[in-house]
Amino acid sequence: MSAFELAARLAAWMVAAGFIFLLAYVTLRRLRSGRTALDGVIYILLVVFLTSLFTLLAGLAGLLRPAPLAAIAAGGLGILMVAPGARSSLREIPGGLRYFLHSCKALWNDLPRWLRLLSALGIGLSVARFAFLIWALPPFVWDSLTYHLTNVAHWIQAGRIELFETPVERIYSPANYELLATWFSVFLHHDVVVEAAGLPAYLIGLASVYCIGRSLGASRSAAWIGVLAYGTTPALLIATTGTKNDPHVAGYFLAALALAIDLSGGRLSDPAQNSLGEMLSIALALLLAAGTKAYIAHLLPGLALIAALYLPRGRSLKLWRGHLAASARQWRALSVSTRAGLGALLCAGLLLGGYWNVRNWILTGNPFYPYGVIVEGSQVIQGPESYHHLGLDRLAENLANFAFKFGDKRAPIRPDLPNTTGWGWFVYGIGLPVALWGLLRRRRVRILWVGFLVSLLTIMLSNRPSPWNMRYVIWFPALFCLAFTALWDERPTGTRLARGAMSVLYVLALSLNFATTLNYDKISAEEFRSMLQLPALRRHAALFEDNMPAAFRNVLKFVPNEALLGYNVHNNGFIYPLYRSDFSQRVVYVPLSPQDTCEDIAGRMRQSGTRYLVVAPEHTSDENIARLRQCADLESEIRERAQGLYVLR
Amino acid sequence: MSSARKVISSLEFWGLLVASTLFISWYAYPQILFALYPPYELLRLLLPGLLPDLALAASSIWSLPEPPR
Repeated sequence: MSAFELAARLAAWMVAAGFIFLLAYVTLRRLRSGRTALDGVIYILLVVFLTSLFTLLAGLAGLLRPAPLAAIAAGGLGILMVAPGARSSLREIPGGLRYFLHSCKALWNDLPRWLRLLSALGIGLSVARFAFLIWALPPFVWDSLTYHLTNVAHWIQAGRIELFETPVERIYSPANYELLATWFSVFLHHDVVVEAAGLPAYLIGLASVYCIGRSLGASRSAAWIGVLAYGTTPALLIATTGTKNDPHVAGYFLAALALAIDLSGGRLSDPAQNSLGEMLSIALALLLAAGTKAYIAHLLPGLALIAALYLPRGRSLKLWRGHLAASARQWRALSVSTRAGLGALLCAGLLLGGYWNVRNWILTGNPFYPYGVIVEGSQVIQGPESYHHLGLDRLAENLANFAFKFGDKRAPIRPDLPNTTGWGWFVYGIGLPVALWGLLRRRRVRILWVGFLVSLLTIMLSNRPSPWNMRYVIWFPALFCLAFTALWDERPTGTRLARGAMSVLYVLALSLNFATTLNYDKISAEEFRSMLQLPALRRHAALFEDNMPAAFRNVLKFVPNEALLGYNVHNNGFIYPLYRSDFSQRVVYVPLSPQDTCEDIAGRMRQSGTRYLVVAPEHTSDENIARLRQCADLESEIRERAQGLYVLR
Repeated sequence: MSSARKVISSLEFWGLLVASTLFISWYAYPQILFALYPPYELLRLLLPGLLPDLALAASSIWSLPEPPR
């Protein structure tokens, strides 16, 4: 890529991002809650929402290329500048920004000196860590390389969002995260910063924890203490740049919870409260989550319980009734154009929340394709992949599985959490005793416990017991961090020594959490060095030695960029690395079976339009690999060019 | 706040401090090794050739191999 081309691509990205940022600001005007931190959550949520929507619509229209995206965004910017309502909103930006910075300054001034030092150091080191890991390493987490990023690579190559032939049926899964990952790759036509697609979700999660802490009655500095603790939770921190969708679901869930608590009595009788805007924001967060991963449905019972029980004696329910009435009043008072705008926003939410499942339903008759559904032993919906199994036997298995992983005694904490919970030093060390104290002594913490536990148990009713399944609950550690915020303001004054010792423990736990995540607890110095020796734009996932089969590296060495590459993997095999980091390699699935003759295989390769076929142990069935080896040994038309890479003579 | 309440609150806080210390000690093995390994690798990255590769020794610490997919 020439410097000019890179500059042009970056310029297109800036125009498109500028449009999204401004449109989100204009939209925020109608959804504003009247609390700065909560408005921050809604704003980031809107940026993610509008980015995903823009990518989805452009992708469905076949316009997923930098030039059309920038052109549409430029048109949109023009409309925002001309439309009177939007123009007046945009004029508020400098004032809004000043107010936001003023609030940040107020928070900063409230922090004790040691906490300011810790925050400055923590933020600086976190930014450096994120930047280094995003820049230095290609994507490497298993599920990303099988289906999340495979979708992204195919869509970018095709310039449109579409299905394609592959044995990995999970490409049908809801793909809102993939929309965001596409946004981070389509302009550069490269995956060099794709890991950054997790950062907005991380920010939403942290800002939501701050808001919930404030709603619980914590001071600014206590709420900030909780934010830092949640922000260093290893499971969340390493998943953020792990190119997977779990941090997004966690972020959307916590955002919905922060908004719901605000409406349930987090602040009482505030005339600035915007019931309609906050309720719509909750709907948008949950719809965004529904189109990201279906397990958000399992979190709803806990969310509803917290919203209903937050204030004692049914006062929260009364408040909700009041909010519903207020929303109806607000709706009636809106102008027709504003009503149309908010209606369109809700429709867009329904599109993002339902598109993938409705598409699957129309195409396969099963909205959850490729998954089937079993409820208490009876099959409700059939599917070729594993089943969403809802039953008490599942719950028992999952609880045993959880007990096995509790305490992170079995393994290091890595991105997909094999055999660990990934909750880290703070949660197990400080959070657990403090949360138990909160359970006994503080009503609001008790309500959080009830809601979080109900959501956790509901997930465990259907979660497939596996070594990796704790990634679905990376929102749960927020409970322990929030309990700690409740304790922090109540430290007794006469215990200076104990207060100091608790602060030391807190800093120690956060530091050890952070240290654990520096290299995902798995990437060696040699691996980093070999990646850093390559130019940033040539750090292909296929070159990543830690988990990559030799055959995939051979593809880079022996298959020309312009050739069509055939591959054969099973339903959980890597495909993404074959596309290369700049999505320049076209790939095609070549189906095989051990019963095929060598002529059959050669014929199928020719039929697929390729001379090359790559297979790899662990990713291709052993029988298929053995059959290909036999063909190569038999001096047939197929020969082995390099380990795992076969070519037609 | 009455003096009795103050004493209870102070005892609670001391109790939580002791409990936290105990819980952190319980969590420390083997996670302390997993927490020290990444900074060690970072040092090895910054000072090439000076420090030995401990990856094999590190992997012998945990009881389970990476699960098969």
